[in-house]
Amino acid sequence: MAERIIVESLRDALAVGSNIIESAEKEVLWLLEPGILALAFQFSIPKKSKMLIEKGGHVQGITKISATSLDTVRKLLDGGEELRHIDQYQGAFMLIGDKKESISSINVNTEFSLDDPIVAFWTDDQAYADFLTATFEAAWNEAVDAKKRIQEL
Amino acid sequence: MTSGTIIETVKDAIAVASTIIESAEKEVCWLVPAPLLVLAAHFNLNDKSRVLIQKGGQERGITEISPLYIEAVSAVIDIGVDIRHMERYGGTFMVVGDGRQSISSMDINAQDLSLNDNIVAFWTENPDYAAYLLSSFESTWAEATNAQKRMEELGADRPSHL
Repeated sequence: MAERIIVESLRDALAVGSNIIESAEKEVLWLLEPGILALAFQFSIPKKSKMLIEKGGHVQGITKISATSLDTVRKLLDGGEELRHIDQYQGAFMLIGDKKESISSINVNTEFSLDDPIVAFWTDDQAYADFLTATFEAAWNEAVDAKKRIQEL
Repeated sequence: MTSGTIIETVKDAIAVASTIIESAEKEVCWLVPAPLLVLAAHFNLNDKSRVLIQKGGQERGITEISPLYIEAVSAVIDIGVDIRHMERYGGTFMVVGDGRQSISSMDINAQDLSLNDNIVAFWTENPDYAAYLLSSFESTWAEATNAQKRMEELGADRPSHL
């Protein structure tokens, strides 16, 4: 039976995200606020993504790319992640490993610090992963290639 | 065990929400973009909410109250739904009935939905998922502004029962 756990701090959510990437073998998909991406570096999460890519895995991410997030985005692109930009995005986030394990939040706030309380959902429920993956793919199809966005900026 | 169903159109999502409100006995909580409230009213969801409240149930809702949607929000308030306003609220939505059945979406473009648009929403009776959604709802509710205060800020007429 699938595990389903409510995660109540951003710090814990990042730790869970890190574990999901570490245990993924094929693919990681994510939709994250730039503020969370910056915090992810403190947890060495991009290094784990890079290791997955070096082992033949694939990482796709969507975020809002702006002048303030350019450095972070460039580092992720350098690590081999495939990134796209979405304009209207705010608040909700998701990270899915191998289309099975996920952490996500329907949070409506857009400003985060590491010790902020949040409400996120960590599960290996297949039906829920399918829902998140479909949501990610719909957003991906509407998003702009990161390199094009960087040129615009 | 299959724990949920993916819903792919706004029309179907409203039909599911209608079923959730209709089968609820105690409480419905929702976080919905204002344009969806208008569409829901066309599908008589307000009548379902009225029946729930008349039977002693409770309904609470969060949306972004703007001048364009004051009429739709006032109609829901007049039924007896407890409403709060959330500034800069994006496209995610949820409807949870009796802490069990729910439909939710993380569609980031949901703000501009029309009836025939495609969406990705998740319909489930999983109580763990409902608990997560309700926890999110309560967190947002605590930060949201009372509808009456928001209507006063917008200079709107005070709904009759407030």
